[in-house]
Amino acid sequence: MPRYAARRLLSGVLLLFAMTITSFALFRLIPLPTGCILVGCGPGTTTTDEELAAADHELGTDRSVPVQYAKFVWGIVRHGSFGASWVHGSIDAQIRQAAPVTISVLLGGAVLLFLLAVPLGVLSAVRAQERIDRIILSISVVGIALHPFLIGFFLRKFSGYTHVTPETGYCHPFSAPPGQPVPPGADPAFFPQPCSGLRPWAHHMILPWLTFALFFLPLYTRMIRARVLDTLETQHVTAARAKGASEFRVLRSHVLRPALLPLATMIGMDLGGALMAAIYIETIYRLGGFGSLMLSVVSGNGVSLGYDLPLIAALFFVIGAFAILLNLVVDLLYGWFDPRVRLA
Amino acid sequence: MPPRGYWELVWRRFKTDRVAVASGIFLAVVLLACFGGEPLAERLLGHGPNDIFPMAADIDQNLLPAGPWSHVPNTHGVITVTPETPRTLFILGADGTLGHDVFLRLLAGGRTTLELALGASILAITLGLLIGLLSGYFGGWIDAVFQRLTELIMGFPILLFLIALGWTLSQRLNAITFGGTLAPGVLSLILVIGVFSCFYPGRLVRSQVLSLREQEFVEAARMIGGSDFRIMRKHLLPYVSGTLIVYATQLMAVTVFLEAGLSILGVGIELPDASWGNMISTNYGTLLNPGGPHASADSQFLHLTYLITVWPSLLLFLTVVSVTLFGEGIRNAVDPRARRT
Repeated sequence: MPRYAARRLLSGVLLLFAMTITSFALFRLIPLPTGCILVGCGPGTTTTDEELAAADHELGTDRSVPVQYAKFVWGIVRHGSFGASWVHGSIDAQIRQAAPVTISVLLGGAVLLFLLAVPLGVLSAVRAQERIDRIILSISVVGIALHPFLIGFFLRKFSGYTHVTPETGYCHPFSAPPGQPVPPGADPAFFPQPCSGLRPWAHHMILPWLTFALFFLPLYTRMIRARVLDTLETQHVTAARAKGASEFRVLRSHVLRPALLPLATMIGMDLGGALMAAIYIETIYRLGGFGSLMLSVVSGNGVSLGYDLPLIAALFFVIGAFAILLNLVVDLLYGWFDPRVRLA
Repeated sequence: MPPRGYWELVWRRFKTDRVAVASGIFLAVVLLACFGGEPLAERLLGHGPNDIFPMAADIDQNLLPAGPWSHVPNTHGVITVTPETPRTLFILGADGTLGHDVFLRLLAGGRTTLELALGASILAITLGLLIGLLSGYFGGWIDAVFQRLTELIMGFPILLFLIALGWTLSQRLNAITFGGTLAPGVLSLILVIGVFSCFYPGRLVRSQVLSLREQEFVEAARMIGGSDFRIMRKHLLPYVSGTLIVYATQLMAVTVFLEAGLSILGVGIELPDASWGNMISTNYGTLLNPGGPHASADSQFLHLTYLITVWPSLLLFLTVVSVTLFGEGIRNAVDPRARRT
């Protein structure tokens, strides 16, 4: 087992660096006047070639691509830092700020998804081909065709009318970083301070969690239904019934465990989809997490300038590392939960 | 009477599923309208989806675009507009200050979106088939490499690749439109979506091939001297084709969604070319750049033009629903014992 884990980790790290090399090479293929990020250029500006070269030097883009890549890797290995991005300043600070937001969206959303999908899926499977099953199935077909933007838009409108939850924004669950100071004599309403506390945090996250859960709910409900139906027909369930176990006990102990296990793999594999939902959700509710960071690599003020290569490489690195770790953990846990697939 | 072939049986089972047949017909109508009907409608109406009609926005009413079924002065090639200027019909009205024809844009946008969906699905299925066959059949290091790569790539939101790589690629590929068949930017989106979604069908094929390759008929084929390539093509491919077709329909639905998401975020198909995604964002603007042409106008105004957003949203929704139902019908027909998931 430890050898297996070590081999997986090693191959994962190799892949990670292969990926960052590819992204560096790919992005440097387009000639881009990187100096223009720091100093104005184009028609109507008076930037000289020397100023442009100085800007290039400041960004480090006057060196060859292998040297730039080596510096990037050295920064990670030696200092554990991604260095500075071209447009937005320190990458470490940005990631440290964005990670808690995205983690709370994903974790809370996944928990809510489970709380909704498991009862619905089981109910639908137990009452297969009855009316309630048909209703759940037809709603799920419609639900698959609902864009997360649409769900988010309606939820936001709804909360805008009812004021049950805040429409947008994020609250730090524990302690908030200091906000911008209010100048003396200014209206404090123009300088919103970051809020903190577990309850405001949860209050702000209700809509994002709901959006996340509703987006994945149809798919997961149907998946759970199919798994439960398959498991209900296995021999060990018949045996448990023959033994006289109550229907609830059969469901809880003999059906749910084997039926839900493959979902762990699903979740490990679905990180990409979940992060995509996070991009949508963070944009709708203006949370400012990883999703917003991903959008900022080219869009916004980046579009006219090109892209922010160090930021892209750092994001690829962080997400890739997380994906490798998550899949490894899921596989190891899987073997622990289900002795039939235990690894040598 | 010859025995019924595999696909004939599939067709017989599919025919009995009324919902699936209905959604198949709907899809056929949409495809026909977008690919065949759009040029026809352009010819009949006498203007194109990207043509600008300033007179379609009412100057007296804060540039309110013309409503459905209105006749707009055809200002093309006309210097001074008089009451006698020939008029041209806008079936669903105009879409804002520029006065594009919403009806034609709906069809042209559908073409862009469906080209993207079809292209990306076909590419992903082909690549996935290749990966799955190779890594399932040969196993060993090929399999190990593909497995790790799959895990890594699937951890990423495809949107990140689309935003970062799509932009990079589109700088080089925008010029390639295959003689105007594809809108600028579609090719790079097809490539990125196709390449990065091939891993999931790859996994599906791999798991099927893994169980198939140990079966007697494969062994028999190998024993009489069938080459690896022949075994894959003749004995394994027919088994996995059903699953792949089903997955292709799912992927089409996902891609239609993705295009809409990209355009709503403001990084998708660029104006003036229409797509359902960027049509949805004409009224309210994109999320990164909120506020369309009428953002400053009062909300009462948006109530008058909400249909501009409703049409593409409705078509998008119906298309995704019917693609999903159609795929489900095929799944049941291909594998009648399988559970509906």
